[in-house]
Amino acid sequence: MPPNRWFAVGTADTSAGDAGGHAADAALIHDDAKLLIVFCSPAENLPDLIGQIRSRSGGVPLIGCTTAGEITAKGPRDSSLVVTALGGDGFAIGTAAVAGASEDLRGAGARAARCLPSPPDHPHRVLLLFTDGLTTDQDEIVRGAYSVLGASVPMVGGCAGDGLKMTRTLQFHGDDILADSVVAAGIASTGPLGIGVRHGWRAVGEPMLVTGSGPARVESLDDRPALDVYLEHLGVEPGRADPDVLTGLALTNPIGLSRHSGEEQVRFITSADFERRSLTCNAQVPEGSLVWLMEGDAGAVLEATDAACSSSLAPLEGRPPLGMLAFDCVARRGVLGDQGIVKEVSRVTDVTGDMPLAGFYSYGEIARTHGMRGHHNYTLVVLSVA
Amino acid sequence: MSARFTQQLVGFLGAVWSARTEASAGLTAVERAAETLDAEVAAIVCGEHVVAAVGYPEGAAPAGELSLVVLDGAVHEITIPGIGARPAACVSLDYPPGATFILARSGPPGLRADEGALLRGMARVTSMAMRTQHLLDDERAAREKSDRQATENARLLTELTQRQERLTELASEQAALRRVATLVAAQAAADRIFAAVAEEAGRLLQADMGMVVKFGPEGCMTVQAIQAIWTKAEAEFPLRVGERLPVEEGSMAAQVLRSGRPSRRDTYRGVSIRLAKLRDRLGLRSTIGAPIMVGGRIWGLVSVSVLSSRPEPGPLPAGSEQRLADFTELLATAISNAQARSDLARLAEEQAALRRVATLVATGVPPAELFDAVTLEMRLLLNAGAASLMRYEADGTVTVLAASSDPGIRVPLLSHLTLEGRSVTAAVLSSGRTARTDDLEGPPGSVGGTFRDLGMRSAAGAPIVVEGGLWGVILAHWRDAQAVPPGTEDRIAQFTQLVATAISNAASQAQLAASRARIVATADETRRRIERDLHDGIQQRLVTLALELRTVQGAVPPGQADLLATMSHAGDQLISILDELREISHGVHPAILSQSGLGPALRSLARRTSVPTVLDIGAIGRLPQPVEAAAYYIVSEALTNAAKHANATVVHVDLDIKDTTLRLSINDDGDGGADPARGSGIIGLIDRVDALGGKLMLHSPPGEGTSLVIELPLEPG
Repeated sequence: MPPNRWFAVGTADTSAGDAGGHAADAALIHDDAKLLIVFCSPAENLPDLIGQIRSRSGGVPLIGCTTAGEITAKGPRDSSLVVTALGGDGFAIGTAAVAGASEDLRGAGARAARCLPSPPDHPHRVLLLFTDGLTTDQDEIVRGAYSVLGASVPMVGGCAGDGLKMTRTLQFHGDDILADSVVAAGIASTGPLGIGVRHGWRAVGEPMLVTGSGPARVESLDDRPALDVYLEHLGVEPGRADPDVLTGLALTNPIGLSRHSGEEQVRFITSADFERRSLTCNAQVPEGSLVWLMEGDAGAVLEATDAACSSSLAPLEGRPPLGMLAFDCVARRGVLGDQGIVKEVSRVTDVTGDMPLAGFYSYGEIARTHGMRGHHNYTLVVLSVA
Repeated sequence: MSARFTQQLVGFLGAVWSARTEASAGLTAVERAAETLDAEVAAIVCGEHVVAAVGYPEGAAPAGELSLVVLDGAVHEITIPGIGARPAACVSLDYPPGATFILARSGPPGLRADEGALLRGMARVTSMAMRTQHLLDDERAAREKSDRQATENARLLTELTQRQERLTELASEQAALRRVATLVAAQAAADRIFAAVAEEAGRLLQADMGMVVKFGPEGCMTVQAIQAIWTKAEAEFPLRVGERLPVEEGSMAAQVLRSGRPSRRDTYRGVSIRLAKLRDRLGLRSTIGAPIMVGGRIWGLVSVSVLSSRPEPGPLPAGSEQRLADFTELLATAISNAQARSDLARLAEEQAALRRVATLVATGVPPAELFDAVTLEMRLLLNAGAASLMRYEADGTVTVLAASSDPGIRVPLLSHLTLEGRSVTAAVLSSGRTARTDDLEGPPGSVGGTFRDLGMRSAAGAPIVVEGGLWGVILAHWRDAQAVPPGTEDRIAQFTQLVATAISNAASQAQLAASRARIVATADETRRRIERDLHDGIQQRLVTLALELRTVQGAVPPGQADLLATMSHAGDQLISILDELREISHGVHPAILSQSGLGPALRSLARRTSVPTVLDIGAIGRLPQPVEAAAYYIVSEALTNAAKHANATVVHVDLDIKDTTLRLSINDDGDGGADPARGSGIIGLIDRVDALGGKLMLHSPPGEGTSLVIELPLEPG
């Protein structure tokens, strides 16, 4: 008799023959799978891979997305395919896909959230979301989902990547491979679910007041051009910076927004407008916010990894998790380096033991556990499933 | 931290003011307040009405719980879903009236002082934004209502204008209908009604030309009326009333005929050559036609056309088909009535003509007389230039037996006309059926040539079939090409049947007369043979016997007085028998008639009759033997009747010859009342007269004597 809930992960190299089949076979350890979650590097043969998985799983609901690197208990990988299966009667699943999301991000978030089932005997619920990582205002998606779910249901997930090409990310739903969409799985479980959110970055120096901002753009800080203020805080003479210099600086020097409780919310500076002297972020930085220049080092980031994992285990009330999903910001990968991320994953497995782990390097992380805000950068988000 | 406070308020204000409606301003306000203050729940509540709320599952904001949060200074708690009861921060709103802004969050309890101030600032902004949006919403609603009203007004105005236009149209349609109806009511001729229809239809649709055509058999149509509308250019139309046109495949007329629905043709590009010819002939630019339905069938069509001669000619406007169809439908009854009346009148004329001819046939008038009557009737009936009756001869020629023509021409009664060229006469001979032609021709001496020379172009005819054989043909000719009305052949055929009957009757009568003549002649010949046999046989032998008796009488010795007396008596008896025999023989056939002729025979007869007879015989000489015999026996019978039955005291017999007729008149002063039905005497006389083709007239009123007039043709008829 299969267990009431089970969690398994299979992986394969995308270039291997029948990679989808092999990964699915490894994940489908019982025949009562309820949901497949697929993370995959952008690959030419994506339709084939999805087809191979579906040939094994049949009509089991499937969601997923492309990545900027995949994570399993074996370590971080590129060019691989990771298939996670949740199974057993302890899970009740609903899925949704909303195409053309950029036309109405809030509406897309709301429609995606409506897939969450609410069977009375499955009290623990979470909405798992994958969005297009190149969409600028991810907060709108979170607002839409929150307007449907309210405060009682947390959200977790990641923004799809494309191996840092920054051209097009894809989302998966059933047999469909979509772009510019929101895919979601509403997970209701008889067992508890825990979410950990940490970035490990520290605020340094004096705070700056956001005196002018627009969608995904900071115009002015402390009533001066945002680019100049940002560079001055970093000790760089504004006249000497060019786009390449800025990109290098921005990767390791995000800005952080203060929050009422918990860590600052980190915002990744993707580029700057040297004409208008403004900064471009991948999410909103509201006017009136206090922001700090953030700094981090490998040690702090790895500590955050430990903290995220352990805080995700806290709600499980001592029960051993069945498995863990991790959404790790691709910028952290930049900070840690290739060796660092291997270490990071081993730090995770140190916490989890030999339980299954699946995750991906994302263009933004979704985790709403308190307050309304749920979109993060430079952050590791962990979902522990018991 | 006032700068931060201000910036946060500015950011909040920017978001809330960007909302498009009062409701979305409220929702944006609670969401942005919750985000700014890191709260899970925010709501605007007005009494028990939740204006906006965030943090609750969709549609599940707890109105009851939220409405309990009152601004009495006490600390209220509300339940944050998934988290539990937390203190709620509350700020009253200027707008909506009586509303409260409520906010609750997890984490460290309560708002800091600056956060409280920010929330109040947000509440003020929210009130202003919602009030403004409310006004804007009202304004927008008012404007939308006003726009809707304006649109509705414009629509009403358009509708009104359209209705007025339609009313004007209807009024002109009614006027047009009234004009046509007036004509119909006045029982105007069909052609006048059709002309009116064509004109009114054209006028109604502001076309240049209106036309009424009638569909005929064999894929043809006949122009019933054609009218120019805005000009007086009818005379210029190269198309005339009565002209027959083919219904061209692909034409508007063909479409109407096939579909029974109105149809239009706006372009004549790429049409057949024949259709293009018609277009060029009439200068058509755009044409619409609608069917005229009479008695459930497509009788014809009314068409209206825009001509290319019009300045800037364009197609007829959309919807014209239906207007024409409506107009035509309303007129169909009138047309149908007019047509019915016209058909009825024509039928009546035809029936009258047929009846007159049939009467002539019944009274047995001579064929020549009948033929004259038929050709006259037919010419008038068919409104033809000429009508004629011809007989096919054994030598392959025809003889014109009768003809009637317009006063302007005279059809000669010719024989040996040939059938060369193109003529209905030839066509009927080859097919044995009715035929028509629109283009007569032929060399001199032919039927086609003869009538062509008389100015005729078209013709129709039907065969005269007598007892199964093609006997002749009846023809009608017209001066114009294509002038033969549809159905003409059938109308002619009705006459040919009567003529055939008459011819058949005449032939039978001739045969009967010949048969009777043969009987009479045989009887007369028998009488002559008997008379000759008596004269040459018995009479001669009796005479010989009488002579021998005289000889024997002379040889009787004297003293034999008794013997002599006996022999003398026998001799007298013998003479008496001889006389009697001679008398009998004379009665059988008077020898004097054969030997001396009618005059002497009648004088001999008169002498021997018991009634005084006055003879008045002209110089008649010898006549044909049957005539002499007939006249002799008629007088003999009349004298016998006068003596035996009429108690006449005198009989007058007049005999004379006029032209080729012997006229015999016998009058007595007897009792009269002679009736052919009562005695065979007169019937015998009638037979003799009939056998010779003569006439017998008996006038015998009781008490006024009997008058008998007989005419006998001297030449066989």
